[in-house]
Amino acid sequence: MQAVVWAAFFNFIAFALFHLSVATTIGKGIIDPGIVDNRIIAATLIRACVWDILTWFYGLPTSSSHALIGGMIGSALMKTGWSAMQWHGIGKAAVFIFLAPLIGMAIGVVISIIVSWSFRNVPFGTANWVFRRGQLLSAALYSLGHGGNDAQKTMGIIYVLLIGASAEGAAFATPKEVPTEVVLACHVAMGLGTLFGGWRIVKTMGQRIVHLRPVDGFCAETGAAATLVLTLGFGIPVSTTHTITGAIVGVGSMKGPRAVRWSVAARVVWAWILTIPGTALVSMACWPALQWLPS
Amino acid sequence: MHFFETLNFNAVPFWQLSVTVWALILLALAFDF
Repeated sequence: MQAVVWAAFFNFIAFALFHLSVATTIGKGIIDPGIVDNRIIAATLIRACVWDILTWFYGLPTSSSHALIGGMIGSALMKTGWSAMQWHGIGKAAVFIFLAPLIGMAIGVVISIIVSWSFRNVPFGTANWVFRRGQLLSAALYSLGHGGNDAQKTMGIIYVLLIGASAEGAAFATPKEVPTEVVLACHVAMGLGTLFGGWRIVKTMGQRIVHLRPVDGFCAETGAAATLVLTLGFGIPVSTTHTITGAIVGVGSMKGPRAVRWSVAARVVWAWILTIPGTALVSMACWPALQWLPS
Repeated sequence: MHFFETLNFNAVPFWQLSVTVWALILLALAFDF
Protein backbone atom coordinates (compact mmCIF):
# COMPACT_ATOMS: atom_id res chain seq x y z
CA MET A 1 0.00 0.00 0.00
CA GLN A 2 2.85 2.40 0.84
CA ALA A 3 4.32 1.75 -2.61
CA VAL A 4 1.03 2.72 -4.25
CA VAL A 5 0.81 5.97 -2.23
CA TRP A 6 4.43 6.74 -3.13
CA ALA A 7 3.73 6.16 -6.85
CA ALA A 8 0.53 8.24 -6.74
CA PHE A 9 2.39 11.16 -5.15
CA PHE A 10 5.04 11.20 -7.88
CA ASN A 11 2.36 10.79 -10.56
CA PHE A 12 0.86 14.00 -9.25
CA ILE A 13 3.96 16.17 -8.92
CA ALA A 14 5.20 15.21 -12.40
CA PHE A 15 3.39 18.30 -13.76
CA ALA A 16 6.11 20.49 -12.28
CA LEU A 17 8.94 18.79 -14.17
CA PHE A 18 8.06 18.16 -17.78
CA HIS A 19 7.22 20.19 -20.85
CA LEU A 20 3.68 19.76 -22.16
CA SER A 21 4.89 18.39 -25.49
CA VAL A 22 2.96 15.11 -25.35
CA ALA A 23 -0.28 17.01 -24.59
CA THR A 24 0.37 19.18 -27.65
CA THR A 25 1.04 16.12 -29.85
CA ILE A 26 -2.21 14.46 -28.73
CA GLY A 27 -4.17 17.73 -28.98
CA LYS A 28 -2.91 18.88 -32.38
CA GLY A 29 -0.73 16.15 -33.87
CA ILE A 30 -2.98 13.11 -34.40
CA ILE A 31 -5.98 14.56 -36.21
CA ASP A 32 -6.66 18.06 -37.51
CA PRO A 33 -7.89 20.00 -34.42
CA GLY A 34 -10.10 22.08 -36.74
CA ILE A 35 -12.51 19.19 -37.26
CA VAL A 36 -12.85 18.24 -33.60
CA ASP A 37 -16.26 18.53 -32.03
CA ASN A 38 -18.07 16.97 -29.07
CA ARG A 39 -19.00 13.85 -31.05
CA ILE A 40 -15.41 13.04 -31.95
CA ILE A 41 -14.28 13.41 -28.35
CA ALA A 42 -17.30 11.43 -27.07
CA ALA A 43 -16.62 8.53 -29.48
CA THR A 44 -12.92 8.60 -28.57
CA LEU A 45 -13.48 8.59 -24.83
CA ILE A 46 -16.31 6.09 -24.71
CA ARG A 47 -14.34 3.61 -26.75
CA ALA A 48 -11.10 4.17 -24.80
CA CYS A 49 -12.91 3.83 -21.44
CA VAL A 50 -14.55 0.54 -22.51
CA TRP A 51 -11.18 -0.74 -23.76
CA ASP A 52 -9.47 0.27 -20.52
CA ILE A 53 -12.09 -1.38 -18.34
CA LEU A 54 -11.94 -4.60 -20.38
CA THR A 55 -8.15 -4.83 -20.32
CA TRP A 56 -8.04 -3.83 -16.63
CA PHE A 57 -10.58 -6.56 -15.87
CA TYR A 58 -8.49 -9.17 -17.66
CA GLY A 59 -5.29 -7.80 -16.10
CA LEU A 60 -3.77 -7.08 -19.52
CA PRO A 61 -1.23 -4.27 -19.46
CA THR A 62 -2.34 -2.56 -22.69
CA SER A 63 -1.98 1.07 -23.59
CA SER A 64 -4.75 3.51 -22.77
CA SER A 65 -2.85 6.09 -24.82
CA HIS A 66 -3.08 4.03 -27.96
CA ALA A 67 -6.74 3.37 -27.18
CA LEU A 68 -7.24 7.16 -27.20
CA ILE A 69 -5.26 7.59 -30.42
CA GLY A 70 -7.20 4.75 -32.10
CA GLY A 71 -10.50 6.24 -30.95
CA MET A 72 -9.59 9.67 -32.33
CA ILE A 73 -8.52 8.21 -35.68
CA GLY A 74 -11.71 6.15 -36.01
CA SER A 75 -14.08 9.02 -35.30
CA ALA A 76 -12.13 11.48 -37.48
CA LEU A 77 -12.27 8.96 -40.35
CA MET A 78 -16.04 8.78 -39.98
CA LYS A 79 -16.42 12.55 -39.93
CA THR A 80 -14.09 13.75 -42.70
CA GLY A 81 -12.12 10.79 -44.04
CA TRP A 82 -8.37 10.48 -44.45
CA SER A 83 -7.76 14.21 -44.97
CA ALA A 84 -7.95 14.89 -41.22
CA MET A 85 -5.10 12.53 -40.39
CA GLN A 86 -1.85 14.09 -39.18
CA TRP A 87 0.43 11.36 -40.44
CA HIS A 88 3.58 12.69 -38.82
CA GLY A 89 2.10 12.40 -35.31
CA ILE A 90 0.32 9.10 -36.02
CA GLY A 91 3.55 7.67 -37.48
CA LYS A 92 5.57 8.65 -34.41
CA ALA A 93 3.00 7.05 -32.07
CA ALA A 94 2.75 3.89 -34.21
CA VAL A 95 6.51 3.37 -34.56
CA PHE A 96 6.98 3.77 -30.82
CA ILE A 97 4.45 1.00 -30.10
CA PHE A 98 7.38 -1.23 -31.07
CA LEU A 99 10.33 1.00 -30.18
CA ALA A 100 9.29 2.01 -26.63
CA PRO A 101 9.28 -1.55 -25.21
CA LEU A 102 12.49 -2.36 -27.11
CA ILE A 103 14.25 0.73 -25.75
CA GLY A 104 12.92 -0.06 -22.25
CA MET A 105 14.13 -3.63 -22.65
CA ALA A 106 17.61 -2.56 -23.84
CA ILE A 107 18.10 0.01 -21.07
CA GLY A 108 16.77 -2.50 -18.49
CA VAL A 109 19.30 -5.11 -19.69
CA VAL A 110 22.18 -2.61 -19.60
CA ILE A 111 21.30 -1.47 -16.06
CA SER A 112 20.90 -5.10 -15.02
CA ILE A 113 24.38 -5.96 -16.34
CA ILE A 114 25.95 -2.93 -14.59
CA VAL A 115 24.19 -3.76 -11.31
CA SER A 116 25.08 -7.46 -11.32
CA TRP A 117 28.72 -6.63 -12.14
CA SER A 118 28.89 -3.96 -9.41
CA PHE A 119 27.35 -6.25 -6.78
CA ARG A 120 29.09 -9.48 -7.85
CA ASN A 121 30.98 -9.74 -4.52
CA VAL A 122 28.13 -8.52 -2.29
CA PRO A 123 26.18 -11.18 -0.31
CA PHE A 124 22.67 -11.83 -1.65
CA GLY A 125 20.96 -10.65 1.56
CA THR A 126 22.83 -7.34 1.58
CA ALA A 127 22.09 -6.73 -2.10
CA ASN A 128 18.40 -7.45 -1.47
CA TRP A 129 18.41 -4.95 1.41
CA VAL A 130 20.05 -2.27 -0.77
CA PHE A 131 17.64 -2.75 -3.66
CA ARG A 132 14.56 -2.85 -1.48
CA ARG A 133 15.48 0.71 -0.57
CA GLY A 134 16.76 1.49 -4.07
CA GLN A 135 13.31 0.64 -5.39
CA LEU A 136 11.92 3.67 -3.60
CA LEU A 137 14.09 5.81 -5.87
CA SER A 138 13.42 3.82 -9.06
CA ALA A 139 9.67 3.72 -8.36
CA ALA A 140 9.68 7.50 -7.83
CA LEU A 141 11.52 8.03 -11.14
CA TYR A 142 9.17 5.70 -12.99
CA SER A 143 6.08 7.30 -11.45
CA LEU A 144 7.33 10.73 -12.53
CA GLY A 145 7.71 9.49 -16.11
CA HIS A 146 4.35 7.72 -15.90
CA GLY A 147 2.60 10.83 -14.57
CA GLY A 148 4.30 13.13 -17.09
CA ASN A 149 3.40 10.90 -20.03
CA ASP A 150 -0.07 9.59 -19.24
CA ALA A 151 -1.68 12.64 -17.64
CA GLN A 152 -0.59 14.65 -20.69
CA LYS A 153 -2.63 12.41 -22.97
CA THR A 154 -5.85 13.28 -21.17
CA MET A 155 -4.74 16.92 -21.13
CA GLY A 156 -4.36 16.73 -24.90
CA ILE A 157 -7.91 15.39 -25.28
CA ILE A 158 -9.42 18.09 -23.02
CA TYR A 159 -7.28 20.74 -24.75
CA VAL A 160 -8.54 19.82 -28.21
CA LEU A 161 -12.10 19.65 -26.81
CA LEU A 162 -11.72 23.24 -25.56
CA ILE A 163 -10.25 24.31 -28.90
CA GLY A 164 -13.32 22.79 -30.57
CA ALA A 165 -15.65 24.49 -28.05
CA SER A 166 -14.05 27.89 -28.66
CA ALA A 167 -14.45 27.45 -32.40
CA GLU A 168 -18.15 26.61 -32.05
CA GLY A 169 -18.99 30.22 -31.21
CA ALA A 170 -18.32 30.12 -27.46
CA ALA A 171 -17.49 33.46 -25.88
CA PHE A 172 -13.80 32.79 -25.30
CA ALA A 173 -10.65 32.82 -27.37
CA THR A 174 -8.99 29.58 -28.47
CA PRO A 175 -6.52 28.72 -25.69
CA LYS A 176 -2.92 28.86 -27.00
CA GLU A 177 -1.66 26.52 -24.28
CA VAL A 178 -3.25 23.84 -22.14
CA PRO A 179 -5.16 25.72 -19.37
CA THR A 180 -3.45 25.28 -15.99
CA GLU A 181 -6.66 24.08 -14.33
CA VAL A 182 -6.70 21.21 -16.86
CA VAL A 183 -3.05 20.33 -16.16
CA LEU A 184 -3.67 20.12 -12.41
CA ALA A 185 -6.98 18.25 -12.72
CA CYS A 186 -5.39 15.60 -14.98
CA HIS A 187 -2.52 15.00 -12.56
CA VAL A 188 -4.91 14.78 -9.58
CA ALA A 189 -7.09 12.25 -11.45
CA MET A 190 -4.05 10.24 -12.45
CA GLY A 191 -2.67 10.15 -8.90
CA LEU A 192 -6.04 9.06 -7.52
CA GLY A 193 -6.31 6.38 -10.21
CA THR A 194 -2.94 4.94 -9.21
CA LEU A 195 -3.97 5.07 -5.57
CA PHE A 196 -7.20 3.15 -6.08
CA GLY A 197 -6.68 0.89 -9.09
CA GLY A 198 -3.01 0.16 -9.70
CA TRP A 199 -2.80 -3.26 -8.08
CA ARG A 200 -4.27 -5.54 -10.74
CA ILE A 201 -1.85 -4.46 -13.49
CA VAL A 202 1.07 -4.48 -11.04
CA LYS A 203 0.22 -8.12 -10.31
CA THR A 204 0.26 -9.12 -14.00
CA MET A 205 3.53 -7.35 -14.68
CA GLY A 206 5.40 -8.24 -11.52
CA GLN A 207 4.24 -11.82 -11.03
CA ARG A 208 2.65 -13.32 -14.11
CA ILE A 209 5.12 -12.35 -16.87
CA VAL A 210 8.19 -12.88 -14.71
CA HIS A 211 8.72 -13.09 -10.97
CA LEU A 212 10.63 -10.00 -9.85
CA ARG A 213 13.16 -9.65 -7.05
CA PRO A 214 13.93 -6.17 -5.61
CA VAL A 215 17.04 -5.86 -7.78
CA ASP A 216 14.99 -6.74 -10.90
CA GLY A 217 12.33 -4.21 -9.97
CA PHE A 218 15.00 -1.55 -9.52
CA CYS A 219 16.57 -2.23 -12.93
CA ALA A 220 13.24 -2.48 -14.76
CA GLU A 221 11.80 0.69 -13.24
CA THR A 222 14.98 2.67 -13.87
CA GLY A 223 15.12 1.42 -17.48
CA ALA A 224 11.48 2.30 -18.09
CA ALA A 225 11.86 5.70 -16.38
CA ALA A 226 14.85 6.55 -18.61
CA THR A 227 12.84 5.61 -21.72
CA LEU A 228 9.84 7.68 -20.64
CA VAL A 229 11.89 10.78 -19.88
CA LEU A 230 13.65 10.41 -23.25
CA THR A 231 10.42 10.13 -25.24
CA LEU A 232 8.73 12.87 -23.20
CA GLY A 233 11.57 15.16 -24.26
CA PHE A 234 10.69 14.52 -27.92
CA GLY A 235 6.92 14.85 -27.36
CA ILE A 236 6.30 11.23 -28.39
CA PRO A 237 3.18 9.75 -26.77
CA VAL A 238 4.47 6.30 -25.83
CA SER A 239 2.73 3.79 -23.67
CA THR A 240 4.12 3.64 -20.15
CA THR A 241 2.67 0.14 -19.95
CA HIS A 242 4.55 -1.03 -23.05
CA THR A 243 7.73 0.54 -21.74
CA ILE A 244 7.70 -1.05 -18.28
CA THR A 245 6.63 -4.40 -19.76
CA GLY A 246 9.59 -4.29 -22.18
CA ALA A 247 11.96 -3.42 -19.34
CA ILE A 248 10.57 -6.23 -17.14
CA VAL A 249 10.96 -8.78 -19.94
CA GLY A 250 14.53 -7.53 -20.59
CA VAL A 251 15.51 -7.79 -16.93
CA GLY A 252 13.70 -11.14 -16.56
CA SER A 253 15.46 -12.60 -19.62
CA MET A 254 18.83 -11.93 -17.92
CA LYS A 255 17.95 -14.82 -15.62
CA GLY A 256 17.64 -17.07 -18.68
CA PRO A 257 14.92 -17.37 -21.34
CA ARG A 258 12.87 -19.73 -19.16
CA ALA A 259 12.43 -17.04 -16.49
CA VAL A 260 10.04 -15.17 -18.80
CA ARG A 261 6.56 -16.56 -19.40
CA TRP A 262 6.62 -15.96 -23.13
CA SER A 263 2.99 -17.04 -23.63
CA VAL A 264 1.78 -14.25 -21.32
CA ALA A 265 4.22 -11.81 -22.95
CA ALA A 266 2.95 -12.82 -26.44
CA ARG A 267 -0.68 -12.29 -25.37
CA VAL A 268 0.25 -8.82 -24.14
CA VAL A 269 2.04 -7.94 -27.41
CA TRP A 270 -1.01 -9.04 -29.45
CA ALA A 271 -3.21 -6.83 -27.30
CA TRP A 272 -0.83 -3.90 -28.02
CA ILE A 273 -0.89 -4.46 -31.78
CA LEU A 274 -4.67 -4.71 -31.86
CA THR A 275 -5.31 -1.66 -29.66
CA ILE A 276 -5.20 1.11 -32.32
CA PRO A 277 -7.07 -0.72 -35.13
CA GLY A 278 -9.50 -2.28 -32.63
CA THR A 279 -10.39 0.98 -30.92
CA ALA A 280 -10.54 2.80 -34.26
CA LEU A 281 -13.03 0.26 -35.64
CA VAL A 282 -15.28 0.36 -32.58
CA SER A 283 -15.07 4.14 -32.49
CA MET A 284 -16.27 4.13 -36.13
CA ALA A 285 -19.03 1.69 -35.21
CA CYS A 286 -20.38 3.84 -32.37
CA TRP A 287 -20.13 7.03 -34.45
CA PRO A 288 -23.69 6.85 -35.90
CA ALA A 289 -25.12 6.38 -32.41
CA LEU A 290 -23.54 9.65 -31.27
CA GLN A 291 -25.16 11.88 -33.89
CA TRP A 292 -27.81 13.01 -31.38
CA LEU A 293 -25.07 14.74 -29.36
CA PRO A 294 -24.87 18.52 -29.87
CA SER A 295 -21.71 19.25 -31.91
CA MET B 1 6.58 24.72 -23.17
CA HIS B 2 7.20 23.91 -19.54
CA PHE B 3 4.32 24.04 -17.06
CA PHE B 4 5.74 27.07 -15.24
CA GLU B 5 6.22 28.98 -18.50
CA THR B 6 2.62 28.35 -19.50
CA LEU B 7 0.76 29.14 -16.27
CA ASN B 8 -2.58 30.42 -17.54
CA PHE B 9 -5.36 30.25 -14.98
CA ASN B 10 -8.74 31.58 -16.17
CA ALA B 11 -7.83 31.28 -19.87
CA VAL B 12 -11.11 29.42 -20.34
CA PRO B 13 -14.36 30.47 -18.62
CA PHE B 14 -15.25 26.97 -17.51
CA TRP B 15 -18.57 28.04 -16.01
CA GLN B 16 -19.75 29.10 -19.49
CA LEU B 17 -19.06 25.74 -21.11
CA SER B 18 -22.02 23.65 -22.19
CA VAL B 19 -23.20 20.64 -20.20
CA THR B 20 -21.96 18.39 -23.00
CA VAL B 21 -18.43 19.79 -22.86
CA TRP B 22 -18.43 19.47 -19.07
CA ALA B 23 -19.63 15.88 -19.29
CA LEU B 24 -16.82 15.10 -21.75
CA ILE B 25 -14.21 16.76 -19.52
CA LEU B 26 -15.41 14.64 -16.59
CA LEU B 27 -15.37 11.52 -18.78
CA ALA B 28 -11.77 12.32 -19.80
CA LEU B 29 -10.78 12.74 -16.16
CA ALA B 30 -12.52 9.46 -15.30
CA PHE B 31 -10.47 7.85 -18.08
CA ASP B 32 -7.31 9.39 -16.58
CA PHE B 33 -8.35 7.98 -13.20
